[in-house]
Amino acid sequence: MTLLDMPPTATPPVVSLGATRVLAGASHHHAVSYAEHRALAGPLVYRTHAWLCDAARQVRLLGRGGAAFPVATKLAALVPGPATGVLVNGSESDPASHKDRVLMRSAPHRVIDGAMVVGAALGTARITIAVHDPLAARALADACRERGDAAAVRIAVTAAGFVGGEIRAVLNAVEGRPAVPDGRPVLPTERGLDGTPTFASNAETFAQLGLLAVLGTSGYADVGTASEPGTSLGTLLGDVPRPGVAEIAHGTSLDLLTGATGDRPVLLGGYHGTWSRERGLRLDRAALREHGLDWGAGVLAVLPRATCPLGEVARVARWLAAESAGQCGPCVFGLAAIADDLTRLHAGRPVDVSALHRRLGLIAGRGACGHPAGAVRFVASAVTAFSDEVRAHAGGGCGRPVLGSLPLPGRAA
Amino acid sequence: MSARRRERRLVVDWTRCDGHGLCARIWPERIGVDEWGFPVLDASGLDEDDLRSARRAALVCPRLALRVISA
Amino acid sequence: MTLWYLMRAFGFVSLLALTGSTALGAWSTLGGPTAEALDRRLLRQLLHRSLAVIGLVALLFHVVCAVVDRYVEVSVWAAVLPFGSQFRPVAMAIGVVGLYAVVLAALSGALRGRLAVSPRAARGWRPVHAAAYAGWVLSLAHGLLGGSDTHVWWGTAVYVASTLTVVVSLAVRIFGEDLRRYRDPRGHLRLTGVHR
Repeated sequence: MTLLDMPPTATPPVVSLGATRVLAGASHHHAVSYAEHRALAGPLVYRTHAWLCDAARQVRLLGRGGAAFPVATKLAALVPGPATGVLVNGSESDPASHKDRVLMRSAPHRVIDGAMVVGAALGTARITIAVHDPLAARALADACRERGDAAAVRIAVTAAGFVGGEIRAVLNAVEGRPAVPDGRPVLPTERGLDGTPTFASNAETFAQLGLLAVLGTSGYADVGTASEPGTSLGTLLGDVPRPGVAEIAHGTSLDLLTGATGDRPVLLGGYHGTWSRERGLRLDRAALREHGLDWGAGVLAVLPRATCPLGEVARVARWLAAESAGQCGPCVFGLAAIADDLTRLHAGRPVDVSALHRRLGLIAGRGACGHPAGAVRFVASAVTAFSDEVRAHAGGGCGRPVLGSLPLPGRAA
Repeated sequence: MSARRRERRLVVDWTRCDGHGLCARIWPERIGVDEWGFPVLDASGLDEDDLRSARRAALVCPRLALRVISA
Repeated sequence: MTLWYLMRAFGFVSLLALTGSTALGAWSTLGGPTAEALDRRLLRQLLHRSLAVIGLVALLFHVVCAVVDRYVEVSVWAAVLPFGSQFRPVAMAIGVVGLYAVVLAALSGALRGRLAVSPRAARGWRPVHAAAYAGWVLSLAHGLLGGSDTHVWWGTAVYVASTLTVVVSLAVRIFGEDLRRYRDPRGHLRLTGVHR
């Protein structure tokens, strides 16, 4: 069963691989209750700002939102005080990624614990959780009500566009402005919620921080590798042995997760990620980067053999173009042209491939956010990885339909 | 003893740029134009001579989308 | 008496120069992407600024002559504050407010580079600079109502020509736009890089 067979409100299965800590006790059937959570996690352990920064540095904790920014650096940039803000980014707008939604729906107390720990360390009660998904919002709200200490936590349900997950777009949405990125980006640590310095990070990052506070550095480093202790959540999609959301120990072989793919390219990261034929890779962000890859949003996808990969990629490329916020010329025109080129490639119509490559080279880095660069990365790596398919389609087609194996909201065409 | 000089760069506020192309016309050595008329900036830093050209490019933009920043 | 005539002359020179500058300002968004079109656009920008400077200098002399001249009593205060004049008070008031608008437009133009640095200033620049249109209308009204040359044939001709120039320029700006307009997600009107 692929994630595509389920309606959007259904929660993907939680796949257990043995290293389950953040997702302990979670399943797609129900959310872990507060009592169950406290039994699993122990009492809430508050830490000082200094302790948290130091611990995050020791375990080399990286942000789980895709940018993988060192959490210690971000935390250290803030001065504790009531004017500081905490923003949990639970917007997860990449349709291929389900890890944050599963985390928030099935183990909301992990996220709330983390937010409370960070809030206490920063000496502030100004905590906001921004969510797109209504089910996750409800689970978080129910969880806050269940426990006695989270009354001040604000849950903001914001607009759900792909670009709406970018941190400044989230801040804009939370404050009632259009959910699009700013033309002059300012770090949230300088100016965030209501203009105040804010610690803003992905929902899973907060869950990991809560875990770190409880376990301490040596307990946290029990799982994972020496260079990258701990686990990361990932979404396993498509023709893989165990599809769903999994908590994966760092150092785990990616081949184990994707199973026998033959020579099929694997999508790593999400719709801003990379298609790759490389094997022998592990969940090790530094090593992946050396191979020109990025764990990104933590998606690992293998297309079923029965679907046409070029058509799948073209379909996502059209969606990526449509998801442009519409503010920046290179994104609006560039992504539309690229989607058009891919559609034509799929249809077997003549395409100036050198022009396509030139466009792909020119668009990255130009735009107010990472959307054009990410989309280009997705498309360019696909065109390279699926070069056989491109050739086949130039010659008339591959004979396979487009099954829509790559999830898109609302079953976009 | 010498203070490290902060690098100056010419950057675009893409949410303001409308692709008029005046910047590229006035400083073609460092500003090109893509097929839709939007500027392609050379990302390298600006030295003293460049600074004047960069400021002129910023002034000529009808949308005030260009600015010189210290990185 | 000479100063009186000079004052009127500088007034007309200022009006003509500022009319030209305003018209060129209205045309500022026109033109295509070709090198020649862009060069013409840059030239128009240059002329726009030059005419504005001429108009401002002439305006300054117009005001100075009006104050210094003894034929009609115009105090310094009457020259810089509205409703301070005994002589043709309404026309003078209009003229002074027009002066403010023109100075505001000129200052925003001169400080444009500095304003590009702040995003709020960059957004607010154009509406502030558009005070030029108000300044032009007020200057025209000031001349028509308060001027001594309104009913002379050449005076009338100047006023008619100035009015036509600015009205036509605005019409060209509004209806002659070659580039497509659309609203971006923040609700700001944008021009695309694509021509109609």
